[in-house]
Amino acid sequence: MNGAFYIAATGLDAQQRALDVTANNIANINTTGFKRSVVRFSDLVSASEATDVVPLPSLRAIGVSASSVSHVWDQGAIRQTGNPMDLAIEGRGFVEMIGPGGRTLLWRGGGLKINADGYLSAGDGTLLKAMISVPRDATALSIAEDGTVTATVPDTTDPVSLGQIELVTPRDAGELQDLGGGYYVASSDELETIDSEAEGANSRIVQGSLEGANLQLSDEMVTLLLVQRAYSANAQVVQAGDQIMSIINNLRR
Amino acid sequence: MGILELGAALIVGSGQRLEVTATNIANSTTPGYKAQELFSAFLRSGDPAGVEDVVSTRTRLDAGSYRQTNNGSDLAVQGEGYFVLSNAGETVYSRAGQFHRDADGRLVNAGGLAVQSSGGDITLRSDSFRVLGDGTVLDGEEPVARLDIVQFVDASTAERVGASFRSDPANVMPVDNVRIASGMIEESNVSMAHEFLAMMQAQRTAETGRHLVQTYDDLLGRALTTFGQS
Repeated sequence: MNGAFYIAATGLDAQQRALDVTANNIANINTTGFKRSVVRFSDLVSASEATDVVPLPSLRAIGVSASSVSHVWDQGAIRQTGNPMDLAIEGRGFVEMIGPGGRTLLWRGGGLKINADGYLSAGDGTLLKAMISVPRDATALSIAEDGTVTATVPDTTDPVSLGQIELVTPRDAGELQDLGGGYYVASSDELETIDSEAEGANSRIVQGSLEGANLQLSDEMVTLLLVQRAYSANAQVVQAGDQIMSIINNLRR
Repeated sequence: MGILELGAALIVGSGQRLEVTATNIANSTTPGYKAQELFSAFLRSGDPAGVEDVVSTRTRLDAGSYRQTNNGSDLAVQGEGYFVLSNAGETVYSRAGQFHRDADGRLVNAGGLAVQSSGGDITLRSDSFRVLGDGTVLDGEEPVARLDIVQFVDASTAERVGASFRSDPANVMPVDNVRIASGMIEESNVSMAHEFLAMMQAQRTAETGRHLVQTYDDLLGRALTTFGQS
């Protein structure tokens, strides 16, 4: 009898989670390199379907769950900024960064700066793992498509190579954990280096550009409306359940 | 079965109806979910049957609408057919096509069940895979497997397990003309209008049950007072 209550509650819960995800997407529409997330709904049965084989003749449905929230790794629009310290990645791949405690973080690009020690770092001061040291008097810093960083120093006429920013990709992008601020961390240490020269690699670094968020406001708004409707439908079920309960409670006058 | 039991059966039945409606509504946004339909058992005064399980369900198997997601790992079977998934050695069939590549490189669904091809699990080297219209899986540009798509000889005997189905292997046959749409998912086939009507019906049925019980109670009370006076 109380089943309808609990089933509708799982529906409310799942739609709430979808609402959170959509709200987060919309809030980040202007965030550089932001990757939108989607919620995957799956239905619940009273015995866990994924873990073991259940010999029960019939399994009763007990609602729905927002089983996973996963990122969509589509390319965002690359926008030219003209600032040589901006870096975007076209195609797959991440830049390796040194996070707190020496942990490897993956970064989808953004604004660069030269930190107080003369190393290339992200705008918030997180160091690139490539540890590229830029001489204080260097000018015309240039980053090639394959990530080779060159600059002109006063004593020489030809630009000197300072190092290379390599692109890496985890074995399973679905396993990446979002740390916020455009950083991700891989659950395993297995990272494949992308060879931009290789055929079919299709990944390159673009200097002087930023990658926009990969979401369409119209899509997110439609999702928002759908979530809202689904939420209120579940709320109606709770009300109907309540009404039947009240009928039972008032049977004896 | 007396009048009181009939009234109780109506109220219990409306609760069960509402549970089915609740499950359908809760899963209205679950891809590949197939709505459950209700039909009531015939009740008669004098039946020895109890009041439990006065409704039974059947799965509606028509296709849901298709929605474009532009996500290459979302697949939808067009027309007849089910994806074949392996759940720890047991085979289940499902229309839900939100797949991804897991840490071992296998193509799995949201619940972690491995998608089956003619050669068993599908192992991919990279995230950049594509699925062609006939179900061929391309890893990079190289074909690695072909999705196993089957249909039931008699769909009514397939047993429902959540959004998937279990079936006797003899009841399964391959689909001739497989059509897979990539970047699309099949939505649930839950119709909100249907579900709200079912919900209203459940509420009214419960009220009918209450009237029945209360009228009987009134009659009984009146009989006792009338005969008590004489």
